[in-house]
Amino acid sequence: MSTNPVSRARLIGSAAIVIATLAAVAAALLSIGPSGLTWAAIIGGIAISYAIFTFVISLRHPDAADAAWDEQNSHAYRNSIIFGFWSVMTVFLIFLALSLTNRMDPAMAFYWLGPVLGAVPSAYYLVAILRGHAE
Amino acid sequence: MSGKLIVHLRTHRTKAGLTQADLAAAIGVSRKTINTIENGVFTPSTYLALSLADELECSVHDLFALPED
Repeated sequence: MSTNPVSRARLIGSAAIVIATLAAVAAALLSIGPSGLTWAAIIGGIAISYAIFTFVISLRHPDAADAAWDEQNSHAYRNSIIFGFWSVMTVFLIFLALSLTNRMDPAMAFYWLGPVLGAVPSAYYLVAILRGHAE
Repeated sequence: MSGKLIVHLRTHRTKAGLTQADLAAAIGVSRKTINTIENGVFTPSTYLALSLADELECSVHDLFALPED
């Protein structure tokens, strides 16, 4: 794991978002655990906490923040956002088809787009870290 | 435009007696960035290439070369 505190916070935060989202998807598929709305709140809460934590760490370690957001990591981040956009677009079309055929509640589809939007770029970034293409 | 950039960064860095972490700290990037540049995974921008050359007191052409046809 990186010795840079900002990179470490980003890795832990991204992993937490991805794990929570996967747990929510698994729970939904198995019809166990809390409701989808509760899961959406949990994932959103983790994402907001991660954002605040990273912001505070970056203020306390400005040099580490610069290194953590150097051009390679910024490049990986941009790629994760692009991948996230196309993923959300795909999921939106799937949810739209399910909603139009009365197989999914439109309100639930709307709430689920949030976690997808938040988790997919994090998942992409996590894979980039594991592949050694980002820190 | 095709072909992989030829990188001599590791040679010049070790000649200067610097670790990847030392060089990264000197120019304000992550150690992973230095590592991926040396391994040809990441191609640096002109600015970063010039910063590396400046820190290692050599020219950009000493650090990077285009592949031969």
